[in-house]
Amino acid sequence: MFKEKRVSVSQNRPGCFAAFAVFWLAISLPIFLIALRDGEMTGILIGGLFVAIGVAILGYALLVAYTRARIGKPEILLSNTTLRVGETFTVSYLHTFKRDVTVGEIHLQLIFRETATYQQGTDTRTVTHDHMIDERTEPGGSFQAGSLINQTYEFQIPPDGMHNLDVRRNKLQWILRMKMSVPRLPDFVEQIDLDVVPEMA
Amino acid sequence: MAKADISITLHRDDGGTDYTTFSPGKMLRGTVMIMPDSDVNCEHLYVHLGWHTEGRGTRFTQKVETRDLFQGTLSAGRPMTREFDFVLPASPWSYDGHYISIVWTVTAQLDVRWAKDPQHSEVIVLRPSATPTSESTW
Repeated sequence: MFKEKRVSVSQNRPGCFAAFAVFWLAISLPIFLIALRDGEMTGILIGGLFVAIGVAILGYALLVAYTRARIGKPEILLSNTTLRVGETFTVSYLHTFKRDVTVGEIHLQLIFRETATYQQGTDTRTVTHDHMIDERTEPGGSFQAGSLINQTYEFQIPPDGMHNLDVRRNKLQWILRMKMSVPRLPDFVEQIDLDVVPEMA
Repeated sequence: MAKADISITLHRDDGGTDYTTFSPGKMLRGTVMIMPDSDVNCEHLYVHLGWHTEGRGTRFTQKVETRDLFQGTLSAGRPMTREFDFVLPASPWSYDGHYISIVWTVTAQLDVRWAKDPQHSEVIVLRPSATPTSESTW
């Protein structure tokens, strides 16, 4: 019995990348053009490097957006939206391909993520560590437009596992991640944050 | 500077022999013993129950509950014992991970005027008893 469709949150955010690239280019491009006009070699080299970085980021954002447009958005449904430690839950993965596409293996991963933020001098740094708890893999292949993948998987939050925790600069988080590789394009990644409460199943 | 030996002994109600692992929602009972080296004017003898994070992230500390067990003068060489109890909260559970650990402690703090407070902590593991305790295997 599937209670609720969860909104999946993309890890690859092409819109954010593109906006950042445009902002980057809006600053670096005029500097580069001025240096080019004045024939200043140092300005051309440094400005050119910055412009190249902006173009690379923009290119990556466009590739991610293109991958998403080709693959289409999968529907991931969970049997339970609030989970207890030790609880088994069912994930239904439904994906209709929009266009003809060849994809590599499809991975559905249950991950426990630690995110720690700390101060180093004047910098604030964040590190993450993913514990891969469980993984299901579907074979890849060529899919025609309208092809459907409809699979159901069972996962369990381990009985010796931990619940979610979010306090200042320390975060423990359960995630369900779907990852699909597409030849010559960035990986297609979707993730759902799971709500695991401090109770035993 | 005030100097005193402080020790904490924890008890179980359920007859178990593990005196460091406790279940959420259960009663934690204990005894704190103070042995002062000299006469000490004790403003307060506090026992705190709390938890903090350890590891890479900036430390987060939370005092959950405090008991004020004694106010008065402690005489040199004369031990004083006080009992305390706490109802343990539901969360967070103790955890020992890659970057982050969650550590629960019971801390006895002797509050003395114009000096550093002598204190002593005991680490406890807060975890439902149905599960293997303390360290995660993953």
